[in-house]
Amino acid sequence: MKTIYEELLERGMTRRDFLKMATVLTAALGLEHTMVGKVVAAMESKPRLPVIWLEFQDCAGCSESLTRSHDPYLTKLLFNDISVDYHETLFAAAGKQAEENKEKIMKEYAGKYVLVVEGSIPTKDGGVYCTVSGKTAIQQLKEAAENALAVVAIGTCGSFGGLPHAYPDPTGAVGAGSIIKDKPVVNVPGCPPMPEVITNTIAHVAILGELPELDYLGRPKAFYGNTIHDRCPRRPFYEQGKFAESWDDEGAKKGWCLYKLGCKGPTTYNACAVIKWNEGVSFPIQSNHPCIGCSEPNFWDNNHVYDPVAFPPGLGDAAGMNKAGAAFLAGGALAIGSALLASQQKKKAAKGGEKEG
Amino acid sequence: MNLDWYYMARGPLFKFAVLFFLFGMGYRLFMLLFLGWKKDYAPARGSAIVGIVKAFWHHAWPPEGLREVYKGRLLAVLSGDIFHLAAFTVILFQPAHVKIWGKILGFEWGSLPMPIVDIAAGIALISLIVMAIDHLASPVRHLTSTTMSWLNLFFVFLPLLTGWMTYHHLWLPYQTLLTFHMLAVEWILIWMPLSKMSHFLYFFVSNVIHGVKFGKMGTL
Ligand code: SF4
Ligand code: SF4
Repeated sequence: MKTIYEELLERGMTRRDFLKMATVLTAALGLEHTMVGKVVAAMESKPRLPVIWLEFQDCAGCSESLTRSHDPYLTKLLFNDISVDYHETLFAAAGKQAEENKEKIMKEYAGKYVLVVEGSIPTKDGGVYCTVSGKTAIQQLKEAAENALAVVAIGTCGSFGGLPHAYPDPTGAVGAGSIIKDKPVVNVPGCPPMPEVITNTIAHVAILGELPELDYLGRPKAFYGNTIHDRCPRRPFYEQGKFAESWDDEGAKKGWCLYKLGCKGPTTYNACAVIKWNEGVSFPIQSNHPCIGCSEPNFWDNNHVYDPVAFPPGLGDAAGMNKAGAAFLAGGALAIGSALLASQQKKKAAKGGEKEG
Repeated sequence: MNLDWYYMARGPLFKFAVLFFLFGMGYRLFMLLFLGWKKDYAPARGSAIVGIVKAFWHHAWPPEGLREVYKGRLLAVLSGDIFHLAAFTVILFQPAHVKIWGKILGFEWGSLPMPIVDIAAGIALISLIVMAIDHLASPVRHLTSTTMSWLNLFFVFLPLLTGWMTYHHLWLPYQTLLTFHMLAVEWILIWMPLSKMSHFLYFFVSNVIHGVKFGKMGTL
């Protein structure tokens, strides 16, 4: 089988261009400069790893995000040279033909392809809520994962169940990692994830043939190593205790911290504050909107979007306050009851004592 | 780690702890009020109001006779007062806490800048350590301290320590630290009605009761 380097040469790339590309790629993968040699060596010695991209319960927003990558170089590399061999949304082929193609790749490259999963997998009622060509998502995923080198779950849905998993979760939606247990699953959450993070993570696995360093939720540390809060340009205001209290007050106009308006930056690990969206133009906090914590599991149920991160869900709602009042009064009633009982017993005992005496 | 504990700590456990706390404190407060009071037939020799004021004052500034006990332990004695001031600064003026109080009470007040809250938390932690040392070093306090007093010190230490660690984001993922902090706070909510930590409420009740009683007798 031809190595990536050989294939690139065949397509007319010069050695010089190849080395340039490897340098850019190393930086894009979030690796240190000293790792260029490793990237070059990998491309010179390893064949390309095809990518199979499955979509389950999703909105295709992650794929949309991917096509907006401001790193056209890497995207081109991924699609043309590393090759995404099967992608339900971006693929020209459809129906039976596409399925056959997928099966062919799975056989031909057994143990050597990268499986990308976008969208959550329904588990309720035998998984009937999402079927592709007559097979449930669970079946599709298990079959495709069996011979995959690694699985990359894209988006919060693919990683943790995401929005379909939000209350009341009618389909029993889960992320790929809950189904695939015998294989490493890299999670690239976000709603959607940053395009650069998608391309770089897939490229890392497909080019180097190994997984990037992961955090405790299976996310690449290079992109999910810091919280939004850690890198937020409004952080000095947070430290000074200067908060926007409403959307159009002085604080909001002056760009003060959005914590009190519900910013989830402190609990959200993602690269938005550094890489930024739309070709590095901005990210929500820079555009005056708090972070909603989209790359964390259960972000939708965890808090109301505009409730501060410190609020336990449901804090202060009317039903809760009634329960709280009831608990206090119930405690009081129990106390009064037992105090009365005690005093009656005392009286009785006193009377009994008199009689006996 | 998975995040199950994080959700538990922020969801069901928090609700349970708050309800348990309210139930427990309701029980203890009403028990105290309804235990039965002896009628005071003696004619009043002083004012009840003055008594109440004096009772609170004597807590802040020990009267003549008691000063003997505090001799040579000024720092230790002050550490109690300092602890309460610092801890309440943190509990009432840390921005996140202010938001929580606001949501519960329906109105809000200003929060303090983080570095000030941070220093307050540090002072509260240190004063707890000073108190612990005093428990060991002072013969009187040593005699009066029980397992319960050690547990109280420890359980108050935990929410402060975990909160401080969370703010500084030390070593562990943020959610893990927040989970520890929430669990520590929940435990204290449960522990309060069961222990002497209910003094946060009894302190006021008993000072009023004693103030009235001794104020009327004219002995305060
Ligand atoms: S805006 Fe959000 S992320 Fe930025 S400092 Fe405030 S709380 Fe942190
Ligand atoms: S700023 Fe927060 S909510 Fe917005 S995309 Fe980034 S992680 Fe998601």
